[in-house]
Amino acid sequence: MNNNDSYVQSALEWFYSKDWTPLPFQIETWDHCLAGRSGLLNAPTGTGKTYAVFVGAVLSCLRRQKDAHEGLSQLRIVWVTPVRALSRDIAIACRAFCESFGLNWMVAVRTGDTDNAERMHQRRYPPQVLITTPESLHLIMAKGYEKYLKDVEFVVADEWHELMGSKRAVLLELALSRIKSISTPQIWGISATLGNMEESMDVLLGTDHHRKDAVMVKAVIEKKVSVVSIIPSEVEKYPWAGNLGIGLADSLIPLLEKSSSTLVFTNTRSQAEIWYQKLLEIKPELAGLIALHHGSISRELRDWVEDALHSGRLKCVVCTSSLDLGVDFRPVETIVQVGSPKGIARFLQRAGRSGHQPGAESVIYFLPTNALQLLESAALKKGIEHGDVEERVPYIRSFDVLVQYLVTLATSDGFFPESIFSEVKSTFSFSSLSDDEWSWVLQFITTGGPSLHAYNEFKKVEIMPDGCYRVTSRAIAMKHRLSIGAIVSDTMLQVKFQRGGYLGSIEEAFISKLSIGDSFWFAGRPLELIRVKEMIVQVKVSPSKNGKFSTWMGGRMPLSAMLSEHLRMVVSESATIADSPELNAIKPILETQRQLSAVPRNDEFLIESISTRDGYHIYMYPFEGRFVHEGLAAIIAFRLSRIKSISFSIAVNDYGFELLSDQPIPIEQAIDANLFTLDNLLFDLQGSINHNEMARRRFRDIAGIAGLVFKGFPGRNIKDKHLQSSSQLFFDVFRDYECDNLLYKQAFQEIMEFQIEEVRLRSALRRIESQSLKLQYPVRPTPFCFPILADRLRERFSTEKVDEMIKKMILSK
Amino acid sequence: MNADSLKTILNTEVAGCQISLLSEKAAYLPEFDALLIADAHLGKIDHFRKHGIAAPPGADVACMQRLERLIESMKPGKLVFMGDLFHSAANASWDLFSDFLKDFTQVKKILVKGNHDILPEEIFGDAGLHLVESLQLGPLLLSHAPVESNSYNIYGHIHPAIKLVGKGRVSLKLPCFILGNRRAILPSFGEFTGLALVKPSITDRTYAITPDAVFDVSASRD
Repeated sequence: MNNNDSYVQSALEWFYSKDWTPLPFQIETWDHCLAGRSGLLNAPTGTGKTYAVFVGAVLSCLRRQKDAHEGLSQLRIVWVTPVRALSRDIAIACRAFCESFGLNWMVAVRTGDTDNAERMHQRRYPPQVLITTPESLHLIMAKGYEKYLKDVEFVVADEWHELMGSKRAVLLELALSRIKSISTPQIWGISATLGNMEESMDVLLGTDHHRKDAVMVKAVIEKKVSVVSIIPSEVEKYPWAGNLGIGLADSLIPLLEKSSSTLVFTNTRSQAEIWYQKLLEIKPELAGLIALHHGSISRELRDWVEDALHSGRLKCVVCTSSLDLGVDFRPVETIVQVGSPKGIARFLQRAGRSGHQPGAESVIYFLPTNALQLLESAALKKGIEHGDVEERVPYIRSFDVLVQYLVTLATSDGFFPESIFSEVKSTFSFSSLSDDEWSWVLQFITTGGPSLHAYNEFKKVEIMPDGCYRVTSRAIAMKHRLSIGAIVSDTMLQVKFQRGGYLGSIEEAFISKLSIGDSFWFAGRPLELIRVKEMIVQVKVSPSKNGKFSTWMGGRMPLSAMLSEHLRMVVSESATIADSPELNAIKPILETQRQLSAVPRNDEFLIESISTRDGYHIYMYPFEGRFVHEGLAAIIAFRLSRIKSISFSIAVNDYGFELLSDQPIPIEQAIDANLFTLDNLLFDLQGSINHNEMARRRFRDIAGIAGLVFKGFPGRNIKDKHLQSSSQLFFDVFRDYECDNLLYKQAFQEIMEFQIEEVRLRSALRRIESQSLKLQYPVRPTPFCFPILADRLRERFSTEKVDEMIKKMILSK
Repeated sequence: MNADSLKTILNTEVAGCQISLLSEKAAYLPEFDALLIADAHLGKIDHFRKHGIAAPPGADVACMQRLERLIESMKPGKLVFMGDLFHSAANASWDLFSDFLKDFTQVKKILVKGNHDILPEEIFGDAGLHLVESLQLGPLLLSHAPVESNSYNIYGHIHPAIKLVGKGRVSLKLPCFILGNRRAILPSFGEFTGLALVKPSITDRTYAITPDAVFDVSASRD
């Protein structure tokens, strides 16, 4: 038995003492950890992944530290989790292991919820294990952080798939690049299956890592998932459009009744509020047994809900992605998904909330919010059958995050550009960072960009005589630390009862639409607005039950490429597949579609031309998700406008898009002129993007992350009124006066990658080019076009002169 | 006056006085030879920069260039800043601006104080600005924010904008002038100031401003 084996043996004995059987992937992970390797563990939630990596990390620390049992005085293991809510559960599991393994280790949690006294304590008496979030990891990099982190031997990125494809991953990449220089730790990720597993490991470990030392451990766990669609009894009466699905609420009641615990997943917070109300309305006996859980509800309330669910006091929780994670150790019996989950991976993950026991079958009920989603349900089933899982595209060259990170370093111990440059370049995100771009970023934080101004009073980061970059102003440092992070939301106001009692937070944009005395639903209660004072919304319980439902921005994700592909197949084969309950149910609607227009086969591309009193409509159905449709619609609008001067408003959904104009649209002529060609795609895309609001919307987050837009100090924004502005204003002045600003340019690059999904758009056009075009002239709106027609959120595209347009417009009421 | 170099002038009247609405987001009162500039918010860019927020410095300069063009073509006897002339405490932009004002010795410069105008009075005085709370010109009372009065009130403060909608659900948000029976609201002159959507009443005349023109859109109602 070699040395490492003895450590593994001790862990095994611990497992046996608990009457647990260690799984092969756990032992394999321990071996790799003990051998000093870094890597990625591919294991779904609820499979013992935490013990695989945590035990491995502890064993490896112990092997290196002979007197470990006497207690280590420094931080050894940093465990990064994407969700604050998870940190509690993980801490409990880690403590349980440490205690019964005879280790006198401290396991601490440091998140945005940790109070100041506890933070100070952690600083003075470092715990051996620290559970934290990417944002808090950056906050830890305050004065003296190098000493604090000097003995870190392990950094673990838990639920890494959640961070992949977000700017929070870039935050973590940058933090890791710093820690690697301080203490050369082993780095491990834990991830559910992604379509790009290898790439996701590269992102985590960085480009300076030697791949031969890195391993990928795959937990082979057979998990059967079955999907049951909730099918409306009379599909003819089921709405063609809509994202709410309330019409099917009655059919949910029997499911709730027979199950001991149920999670009802909705896609947005307002949808969750509405469903919660509706279920209570149908079944008043549920009062006290049903609860609401979403990201705007206060932490205490959410904690209570989670606890109550698992202790059996609650039968049902209506939730959003806020519960995608966080019930890791405690499965529920029944899962319901309301509306499209937009992707196979997300759907599977939610399904995985049930049946945690190895070998148990996970059942997920899919509740379509409109008739066409039955097609999506059939497509989901196909995708799961094929074992398909989506990729997550990592963010690269996110200058907003880099700017924030460098200022973070400057507010703590300061930094020297030479050494930080090579660290930053070692990350996946910034591996292509050029010297010029680096100089620009340094200039941006020190002089506020290339200044043509004779007097430049810009003050942020200063260069000390020794060459160290520092922030010396306490005010700037404090403001910066308050805005660390890569999640940008609208200004949030706290909702409180007049007599005290915190309910949660709500977007300013929603409250500003209400008047004093108006009632609205929030956190499952009818509330009346008393007053808005500074950052606090004072409310009381309203006697009225007819209040508005709070709406929240965002939440409009596109259908994934993989799901889209299956959807197209399902549509194409809908006439021939006989054994699908979903397709049988939707038959009458497809028949209507066929009579009015057509149901496209795989080798056909459907275009519909309709005129209504709104104007002239063209519909196209690439089935590629809303983002690709936005881009395609802009290109098609641009190309049409070269035939004649014309304005469009554009609407999209996941199945297709609409161009609507007050003038007849020359579609036949455009088709003859090769409307769908790939030639000049980039040029046309640039031409059309500049005309719409995409970049402006993207810039909102960028401006927030890079610190251009400051949301004010929590609870007191009055003093800083003179510093308030909007990202919109910044976007305009950059466009007019500093268009080579990298942050401004980043907005356009992000559009190509994430908004228009250029790669996907190209392949969509290539496909359309090879398909035969089927141009139909339905006499009235078809089942396919109706949901888009009903959508009121629109983009504008125009080549007309503004004054021409104004002459035709009227004042908005 | 020599208005050739200006893009658009739309002449109308309020309370029996002529008023010219300029696409440069300013107004001119011929009877009183007064050029009205509301809510320039100069210095805002520098104020941001001083606090570590890297707004591009070009916007203030462009704003002053527009003002210069206006003064040179209108040659007004009075230049009335209708409040919120300067965004913050003194910074380099103020020096730049007071130097700029010194070139116009022929013009009487008046500042109707706004909520942002927090500089000490003598600093305004040094720049040749005569500071007042409000200004009565015949039947017209000029103030920064609306005031109760029997006179016809012209003010700024709110940075008015209107939303226009067209067929095909197209919409546009544009800065505007709003002329009512009892009061007129002027657009904000500044570049980095933001807009607030207003809903004109049925008796209001509304004028939308584009970079090149001023449009009467009052008739554009359902």
